[in-house]
Amino acid sequence: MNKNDLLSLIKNALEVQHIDSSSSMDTIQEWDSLGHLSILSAIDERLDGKAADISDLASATSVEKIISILEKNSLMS
Amino acid sequence: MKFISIQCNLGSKAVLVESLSHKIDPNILKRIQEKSGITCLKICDESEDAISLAQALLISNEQKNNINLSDLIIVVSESKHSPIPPMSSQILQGFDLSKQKLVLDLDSGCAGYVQALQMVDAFFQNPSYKNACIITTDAYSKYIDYSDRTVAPIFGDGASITFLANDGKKSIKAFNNGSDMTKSVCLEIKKELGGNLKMSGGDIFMFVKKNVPNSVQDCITKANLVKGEIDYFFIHQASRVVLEELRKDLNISDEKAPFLVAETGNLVSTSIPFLLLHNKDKLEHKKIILTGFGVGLTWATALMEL
Repeated sequence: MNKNDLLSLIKNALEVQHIDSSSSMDTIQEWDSLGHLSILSAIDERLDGKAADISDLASATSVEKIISILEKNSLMS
Repeated sequence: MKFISIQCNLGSKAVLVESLSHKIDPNILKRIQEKSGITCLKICDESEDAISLAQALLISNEQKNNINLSDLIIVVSESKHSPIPPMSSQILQGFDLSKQKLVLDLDSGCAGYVQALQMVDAFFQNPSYKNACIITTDAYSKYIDYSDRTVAPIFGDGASITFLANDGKKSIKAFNNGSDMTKSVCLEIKKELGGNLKMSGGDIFMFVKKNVPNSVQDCITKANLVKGEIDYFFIHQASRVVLEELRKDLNISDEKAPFLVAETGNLVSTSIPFLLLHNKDKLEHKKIILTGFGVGLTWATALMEL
């Protein structure tokens, strides 16, 4: 998964028009606690279940943080 | 182990989720409601609490007789008023019960009912135990800040009572339990945090995804069955989004894994008995999975043949 894939995945999960690298739970109204579950579910599905093993991901509530965690776990290309 | 009866009692106050809009943005509430599937919460009114919800299940002569016959009583709750006496004593103190019984308290949440069933099943290996009773009761509404959108539109209050008889048959064919105490802070009430319930939904969601499907599959494998042979999956009713995720991960249908708390909210320890009660006419000779998860964080799964 690359950065554009991730942005598109988050956009679809939250059903919003626009997401960029600076987006977070603080800036996107739709990214609420249950919206966050939709993002986690979509990432896990894309990564064939590998996301459930990454404990930090659950509390990553910004695009920047998600990218950083996925990179650290060698899950971003 | 044979189910004799199950009864539930929910908080008498019905609160529409949309009515919380004086404390939470209506647009946010609408989105939460769509994802959680919960439109109404049954919570305690001012005169009710976890103790009175459970006591109300014991007032009929039939229930009094059944509880007097029970050699073993297990009370599952996390809504006690004070550390001493135990919740069981606080619930049962007004009833004139026979003294010869083992009464235990299980400090557990949404996994508690499945844990308690396993305890009864284990005690029933000793034929001296002939009858048992499981009481669940929780009233999270007493610990909820209704401006906190992560918990306010989710939880209802409820109690249940289940009477079980020892018929000499081992109904639990397989079980799988577990916990991750490093995640205990993901669902907690702390005085220093205002005494309100705090929940980290993302962490619980990932905990559930990581452990519950494997736990269910492990029970099915241990029982030498395949998934298609299971008639029902009674999964803790955390919210629709969690249930749908588990249905997807387990590849099971809505019919086999029903969602039943749209009009009540997440009933914590009473969630699974509530499901059993509403499906009781369908369960004879059926193979069912019961799985609860939550506070701890813990999970408990059992495969039963009724």
